[in-house]
Amino acid sequence: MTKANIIRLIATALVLTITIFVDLNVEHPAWAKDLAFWQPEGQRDIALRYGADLGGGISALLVTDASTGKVIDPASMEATRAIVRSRAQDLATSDPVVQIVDARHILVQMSTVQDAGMMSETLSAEGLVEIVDVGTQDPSALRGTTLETVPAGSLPPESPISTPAPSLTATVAATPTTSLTATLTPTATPAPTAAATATLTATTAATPTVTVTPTPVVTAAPTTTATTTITPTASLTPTAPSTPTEEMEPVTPPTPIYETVLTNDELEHIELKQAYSSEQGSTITYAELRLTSQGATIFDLYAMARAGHYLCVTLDKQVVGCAGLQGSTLIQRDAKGNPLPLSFYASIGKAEIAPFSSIFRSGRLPVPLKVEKVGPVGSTLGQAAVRRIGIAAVIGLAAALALLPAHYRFPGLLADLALVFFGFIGLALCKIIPMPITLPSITGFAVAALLALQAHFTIFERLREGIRANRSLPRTVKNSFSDAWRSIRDTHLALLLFSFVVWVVGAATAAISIRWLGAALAAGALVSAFVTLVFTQLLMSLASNVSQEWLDERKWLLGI
Amino acid sequence: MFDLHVIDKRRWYLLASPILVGLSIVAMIVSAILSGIPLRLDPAATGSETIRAAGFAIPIAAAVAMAFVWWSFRATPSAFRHSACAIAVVAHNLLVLLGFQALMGILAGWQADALFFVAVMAVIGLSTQDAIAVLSRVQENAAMRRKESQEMAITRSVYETIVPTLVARLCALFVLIAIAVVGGSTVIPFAATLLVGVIVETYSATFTAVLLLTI
Repeated sequence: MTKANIIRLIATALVLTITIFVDLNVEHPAWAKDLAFWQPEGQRDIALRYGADLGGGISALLVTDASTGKVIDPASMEATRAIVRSRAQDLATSDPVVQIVDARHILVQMSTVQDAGMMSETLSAEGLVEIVDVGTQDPSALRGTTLETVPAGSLPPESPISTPAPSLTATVAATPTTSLTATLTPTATPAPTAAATATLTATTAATPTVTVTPTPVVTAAPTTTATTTITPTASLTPTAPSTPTEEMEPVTPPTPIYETVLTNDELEHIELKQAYSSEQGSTITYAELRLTSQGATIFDLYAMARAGHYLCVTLDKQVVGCAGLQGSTLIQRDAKGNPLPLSFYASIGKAEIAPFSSIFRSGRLPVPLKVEKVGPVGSTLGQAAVRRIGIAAVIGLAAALALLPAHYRFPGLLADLALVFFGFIGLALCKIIPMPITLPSITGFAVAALLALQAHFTIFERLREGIRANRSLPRTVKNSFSDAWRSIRDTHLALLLFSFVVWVVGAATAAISIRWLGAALAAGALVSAFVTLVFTQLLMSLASNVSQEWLDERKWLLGI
Repeated sequence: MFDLHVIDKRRWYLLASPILVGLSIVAMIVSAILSGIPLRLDPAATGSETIRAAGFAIPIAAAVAMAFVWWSFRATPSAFRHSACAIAVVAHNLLVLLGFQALMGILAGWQADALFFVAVMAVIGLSTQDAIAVLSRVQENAAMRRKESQEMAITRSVYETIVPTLVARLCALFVLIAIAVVGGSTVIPFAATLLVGVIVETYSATFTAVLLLTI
């Protein structure tokens, strides 16, 4: 065996082993799934995924939220539909169907997603992005919480900076029948969300220990959780003997109100990004915001006036990430004067990155939506149609597989084998990329399969020419491949280039069908090249060397 | 030796292409008169993204294919002509498919959806690879048999490539006919578009592309 054939044999054995392992319809071990490092961590899997056209999916009926009092006209409904479609495309594996049903309803049908609740929330999220001033205290406790905000300038001028001493009122429920009312003036200024432990000195024999939740009358946003020892000047008059330890009823503090500095209107583009942090030794997520010129001016003025404050980015009032303002925190600009992006460290879970990114990218809904109904839906082509397509494909493929040996005899059988191998490798690629099984992706593989067949036939035609010219079989086989090489190279390169263009354009225009068509064409072209130049060449070389005499005596087997 | 039937009768072979293109343009004009648009679009199912993607991808892919063919045949004196022939075939097939869709829109109310544009892109991919296969063969034969005339090299190439091309396309036709017959009404437009596309591109790549070289 020649050195080239040994390499082909090793490559074929390796690919065959991996293909069989991946194609096996079993639950693959975790280590195997982890090998698919290009898939998002935590979502790695080796499984077939179907698009909505073949495998069905999920349907959500969205209705406009009339309670907001916003005017709902056809133009705003169309703009809302476009945003919902953009979000659905981010979550789905095939083109979603997003239709305006009537003046108030939008219907979304898309491929199955892992988390239907997350899908509903993402589709109906308002998408209001705000940059909020949360005052001077460390905002780490605010991350993930929901803030109440008012537009900039709505608060008293001193409120974001000064934090007045809160007046605390607590009711002490004494055991067994004591009812105490205490007015506490703390000696410290607790944070509005602080849980303070106050030791009360009462005029009774009892020395109750009470837990006080302070209720600050503040509009600013101090955020730390503090434990404060308060010595109140309370006067307690028990109506009954009390036990030494009494607990005060916690008083729910009013929700702090924060000032919004910027909203979507001043933001040009928002994106969630990930980068490796050498300080933390892990990958961190951050929100990158590009402001409009007007937004950058507002930000600069604010940053100069409120040095030392923290700003948080919120999505639908939920804090995504925060950053501190320094005196010198001004928006940098490029040579053309365009504002450069701002970055906020985002503390969101991995599972939330995709929906948050989608909402950030798609923008704010002109019309607020609510989810009215969510449920499973059959394939968009119809279950019966999918079954019939499957039957038709099997019939057509069987006819094609029968045609090849009928026309080319023994080489035709090799082409059949190559086609089957092509199918197995294609299936394995669909599982590990992962590429959803949709009509566009099947079409892409079918075009590449035709390329593979044509390459085989080009070789077989040259083989016939060589045998008719009475050349030796091993030499003819070798020459057939070398003669056909240029044609095979050019056609495969042309298809690869074409698929690259299709994929790039599909990705740039968010057309999922076109993108998967491009991906399938590219994957198929590579598989076709492998199957033709490695697998078939190996088999033909082996057959011509091992069975040369036998085949020479039976030239009809070679299609002569 | 091959007879020069293909060359002798090239006017007739080439005439089929303008007839097909002409009929396609007429179908689109009639569709535009009847419905105000040359191609009825399915706005609900298609979405503007797919149409936009197809609108960008088709000219870019054609330009890239032209550049590639020019690069691939750069050693020959008629490299630009080769690439022009490949592009002519792609444009020809695109127009015929659009015309077919317009005709079916008039006759059966078909609307162009995402799958239609996927089928168009697939046919363009096939057209490019077929045209390159035939043109490669012409160049190979011209290089191997320098004493032969260009007409003879073209005729030889057509005969040598038509069998593998036809067998490969027959395999595709088996599957597409089965899907069109058994697949049901939801996939008939998709399968029919591919079916027409495969037939037209096989003809145009084998005959139109190479015969244009002789003009």
